[in-house]
Amino acid sequence: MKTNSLPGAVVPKPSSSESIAADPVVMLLLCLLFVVPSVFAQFEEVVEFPAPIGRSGAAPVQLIGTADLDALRPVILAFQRRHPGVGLVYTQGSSNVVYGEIAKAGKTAYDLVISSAMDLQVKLVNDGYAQAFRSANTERLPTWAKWRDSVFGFTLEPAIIVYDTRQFPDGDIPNTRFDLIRFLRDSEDKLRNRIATYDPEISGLGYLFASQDSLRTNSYWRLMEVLGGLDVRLSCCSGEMLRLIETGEIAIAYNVLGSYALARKERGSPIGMILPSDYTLTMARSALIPSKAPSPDLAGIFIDFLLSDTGQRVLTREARLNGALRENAESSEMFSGFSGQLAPISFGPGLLVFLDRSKRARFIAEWRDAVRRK
Amino acid sequence: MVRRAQISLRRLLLIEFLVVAAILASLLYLAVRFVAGQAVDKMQDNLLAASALTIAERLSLIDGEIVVDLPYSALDMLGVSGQERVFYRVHAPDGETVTGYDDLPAAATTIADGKPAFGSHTYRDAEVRVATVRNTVMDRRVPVPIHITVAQTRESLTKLSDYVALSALGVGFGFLMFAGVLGAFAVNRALLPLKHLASSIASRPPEQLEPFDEAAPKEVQPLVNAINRFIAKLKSNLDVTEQFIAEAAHGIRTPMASVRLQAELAEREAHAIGRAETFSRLVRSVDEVTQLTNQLLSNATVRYRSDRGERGAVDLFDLAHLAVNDSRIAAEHRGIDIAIVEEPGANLMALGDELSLLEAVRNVLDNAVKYSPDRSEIALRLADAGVLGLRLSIEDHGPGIPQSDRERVFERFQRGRHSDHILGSGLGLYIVRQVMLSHGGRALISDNRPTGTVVTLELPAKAET
Repeated sequence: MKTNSLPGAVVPKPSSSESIAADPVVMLLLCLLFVVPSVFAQFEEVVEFPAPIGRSGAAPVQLIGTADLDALRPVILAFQRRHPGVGLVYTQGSSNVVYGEIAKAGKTAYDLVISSAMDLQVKLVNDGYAQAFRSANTERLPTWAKWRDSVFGFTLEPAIIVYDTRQFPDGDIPNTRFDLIRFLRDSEDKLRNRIATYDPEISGLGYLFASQDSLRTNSYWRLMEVLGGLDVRLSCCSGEMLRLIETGEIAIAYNVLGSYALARKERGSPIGMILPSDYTLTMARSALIPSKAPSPDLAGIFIDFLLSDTGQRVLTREARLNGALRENAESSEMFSGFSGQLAPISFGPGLLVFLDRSKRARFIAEWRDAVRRK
Repeated sequence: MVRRAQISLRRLLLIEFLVVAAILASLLYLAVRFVAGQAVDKMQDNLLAASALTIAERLSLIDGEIVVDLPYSALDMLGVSGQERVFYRVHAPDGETVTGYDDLPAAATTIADGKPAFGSHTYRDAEVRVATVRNTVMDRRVPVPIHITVAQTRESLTKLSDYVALSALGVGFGFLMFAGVLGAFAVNRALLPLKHLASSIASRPPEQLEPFDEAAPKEVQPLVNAINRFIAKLKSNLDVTEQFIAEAAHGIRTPMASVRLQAELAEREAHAIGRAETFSRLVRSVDEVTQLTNQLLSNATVRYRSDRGERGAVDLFDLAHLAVNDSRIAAEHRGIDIAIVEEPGANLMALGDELSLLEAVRNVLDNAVKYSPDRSEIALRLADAGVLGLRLSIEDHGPGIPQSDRERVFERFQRGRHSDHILGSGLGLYIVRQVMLSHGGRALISDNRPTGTVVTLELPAKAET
């Protein structure tokens, strides 16, 4: 049950339903298939990385996260090359499961939480479930990438526009939202039902991108209206949207996670990438140490490694998750030739606003209204 | 005698000064801490109230249901102030939470619309500051009061006010140090007149027994008065003693003269019966007593005269002649020649008490004659030393006074090393020095060539001519 997706926050379905379209009938069927097993097996994977140099007595670092094991594996292995005496156990789950595992009273079994759900990570810190950690490497982080010295963003992943290079061989897709709206209106016939974006209702990451977009530009709502007019296909995850492009079912996808697009493009997929030049939203995967972690010191060592030069290099080159530190960002392939404005989503109490249940309901309703009006 | 611990006025003053400064510094710290705490509370309250009011503006009733469109800025603005955790809650009149943290306590229950209430609580193991505002919305003409509570932890704000207070403490401490330095300076200055008085007492010659009339600080005046009274008493005691000695000496002198005469007569008669030596010893003893008596008398005289401070023009040339005349018989008896040598045309008029000065010169000359070998020469030189005043030196060819004795011989009842067989009381040079001191001058001893002593009397005061 491997997954390429980034299960986002507040996903109201089992996180294992990766490869489904937003078709309600298929969803219902899949729910029937998977809900029952997922009750027994809350976590998708539990993988052990024993210490390379045997220290049988020592307890391994208990890591829980949303990240795909394939993405995290090179980082864990690099960590163990540096600290061969430390064993790790990685438990993967959806962001809600991960959140729920930490935000509960009493002891927790986990030493470290790695999640792509920035808002839920901030909520864990705000509600007192995380402890502070400081090191020379955490001090190097930019302001947006940490909050209260308790949550540390260690990647910098842009939300980008991807397109099918077979359909647009010249790559003549506009690179600002304003121009994109005009372009979409002008090519209505060609693009009807061939555009995709996140469904914010089922994807936590999609919701994060949508809410942050709505804060940054008024064009966002017009863009959603135009997409709605073109019968936009709503997707659960970046992986799915990229696959739809590979199969030629859609031509353009908006707000796809850049790290995944780059990985596929490098494997030879016909994928073109555009980082919007008006502003490019970026999100960060983040790490935090639960306040009741059994071995917070080891967790701190792991965080320090993630933010070290070696850790950042492994993240960028091997895990294909762009490192969060600015010097890495600028020199990486992801941002080569990009001269626009990066708009990093910053960790802080502002992220709590869109987690508010009434706010969320209102936002989703408004969003549906915009997308489905025509 | 048990030595009592000394009290240092300087230390006492300084300690009191520092205690006062320390109290002031502590007060400064407490005051700043209080004010900083208030300012920080006020700052946070304003921010919380603004946040709560922003939320209150976005309340609405749709189909009887309370709807909150939580504005992004409401929580984001709280994030700006630092790294504080934030909590919020919107609740209906029945206490049911519309949205937010269900268990967040409100600041107060009864408050007016738009006027925020504040409070402090412990929430989720953290100290939080809470602001609550009320917004009343109308539900089909029925007012529905809705409370909005926003809370924020106060870690960085506490740190801020602690930092401000700590800075104040630093300033206070610096002030204390500065006050210490200034205080030491001030105390030293305040004690300066005392020091001055002490050194003025220490530098007084032992003979000077006049009261202090220097200006002393008011606080020290009683001490000066006490010292003056003590001096007066001492002086009167000394006077009585001196007078007694003078009277005693005077009383002894006449009978002694008569004893000497009788002894001489007896000596002559004793020659015949071969007992001359006994009587010559008797005569010598009588001479010694007479000399001592004379010297005591002359000392007392000089003392009185110097105390009375009598001054007049004295011609040193005449003075020298008088002194030489007095010593002539004793000198000629031993073939000693005394010559007065004066600078031609020099002004030799001194200002002083003639009788005392004569006594001094006579004593020096007397010594010179006593210690000179038979058939030698004594020179008495008179010179005008310009701005240094007048100089009278008496040069003999006696055994001389070794360097180590030159200060001692001026002390009372002290005599030189070569004086064992020579009649003397030990008062002669003492009197000389008393006279010179009372005239503001001095008496010096130096070597004569090839042997002998030069005693120089320096008199700074010249008489107006």
